[in-house]
Parts: sequence; structure tokens; C-alpha cells
Amino acid sequence: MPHKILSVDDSLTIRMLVKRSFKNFDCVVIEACNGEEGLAAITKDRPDLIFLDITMPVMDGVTMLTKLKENPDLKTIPVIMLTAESGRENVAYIAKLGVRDYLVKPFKDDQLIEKAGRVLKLEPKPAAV
Amino acid sequence: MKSDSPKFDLQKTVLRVVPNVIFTMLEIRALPTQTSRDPEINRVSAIIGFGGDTINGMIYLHFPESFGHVIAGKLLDVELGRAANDREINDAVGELCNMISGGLRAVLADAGFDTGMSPPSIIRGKGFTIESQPDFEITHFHFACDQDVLDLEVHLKL
Repeated sequence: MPHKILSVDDSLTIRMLVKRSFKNFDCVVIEACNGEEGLAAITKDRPDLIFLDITMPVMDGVTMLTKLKENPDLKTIPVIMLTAESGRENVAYIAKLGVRDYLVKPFKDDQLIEKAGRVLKLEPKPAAV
Repeated sequence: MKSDSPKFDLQKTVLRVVPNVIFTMLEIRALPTQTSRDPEINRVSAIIGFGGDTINGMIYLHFPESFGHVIAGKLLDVELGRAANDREINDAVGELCNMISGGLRAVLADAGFDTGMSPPSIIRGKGFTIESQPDFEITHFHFACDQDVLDLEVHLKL
């Protein structure tokens, strides 16, 4: 079964970059544009890993993360923050909410893969038959 | 500002953050230059506002429209296999402005100025100038990126 990775970001560019980073791996990347869509996607698809932005319309990443951690069925899903927010106090506050890792934008594909590889056993995409 | 906080050096911060964002995301070197853009060419400008208890500001990032195509192409074309449309260019330019703003706000936060920020907005056109209230300090930066010039304006009120 391919791993399911959820990218929650209001930027199409970032969601595309996440998708592109994992195109050679046995992964399916699901997209959500804000925290509300993210929570709906989590309930529907139960991803193995979430990349989460902070500043988004409708529902921001901190609110989504707080709601996720309040849900006993979902709170163990690993979350990696992928955000331009990097002030020490912000990072410390979010770390307390329980995230697996924190990647500050700008980023390279390799960094995403390396961070995901600490959480998931990434396998190459099987060759098409 | 906290008494034990490091002083915020806008010049030094911008000259570190902008080339880092542009090179990391686009693999293009952004070199500081004194030459600003030609005001009569079409441009795509991203705007992000930020504010806190003792500081307010705006960041304006201006690209020639042709460079907007380059940016969106580098970030999106591999997947799309076609030229980027206006929405995709706006998104890519807005996201670069978001990253630059994040870098500046991180240094501000470490200097004791915590701020929230707005999502990016986009203006397109040519020959326009931007004015702030008189008590804002405005600083202009210019960067040569291959054949194009990227301009950054920081409007700050402390």
C-alpha cells in the first residue's frame, strides 16, 4: 500500500512542490488548502504523514493542529510543520502542541524527503506493469 | 524591544534572506545592485502586511512580469508541462514574498518584536508607486537576478 501524505497549505506552489518531491516514491499526496479542509481530508483518508502550514485562511495550521491533537483517534498521525514562521517563540509554542518535526521555508525537495524518511519507510514507486 | 534582545538590522537581514530564498527555491543568484527596475514595464507585485504591539510594516516584492513567468515555470512547469497562467504566477510570487517576509519576521521576533502577518496580495500593472503614512520608514532594495531586477520595499513603523 502506498503511503498517504497530506499537504495542507493555501499555496498551490507549495502543494505542487510537495507532490513533486514524492513523485518517485510509493506515496500518494493528498492536498488541502486550509485547516478545515485538512481536518476533513484526515478524517476521510487517514494519512500516514501531514505537512502543515501555519498562516492560512479559513482555519490556520495551529488551530488545525490543536483540533487534531484533541481527537484520540487521530492525534498520533505525525505532523511536520512546513512554514515560513521561524521566530524562536513561535517554534517553541508549536513544538509544545506535539509536532514530529519543523521545516522552515524556503526548502529543497531533499529536505522534505529526508524529514519524511524519518517518519515513513519510503520505497521507490513500483515500476508500471 | 526587550533590553537583552539583539538589535534588528534591516539591511543585513534583507541581504541575507532574499538571496537565500531566491537561490533555495529557484537556483538563481540574487545579487544586490543599485539599479532599480524600469517603471514602465509590466510587473507583478506581492504585498504582505505584518503587525504587533509596537511595530507595523508592509513588504512589497516587485518582479517584472517576464520574471514572474520564469519563477512560476521553475516552481511549477515540471508538473504542468505548459506555460504558467496568471493565477499560478500570482501564487508563486506570493509564496516567495511569504518566505522573505517569514525570514524578516523571524529576526524581528528574535529582537523582541512579535508580529502576525496577512496572506499575500498581488498587484499587477506598470508605472505605479506605493506611499505609506508619513511615519513609516521606507527602505528600497534591488537585486539582479539573471537578466531581471527584483525590487523589495520594506515599510516599517516602530
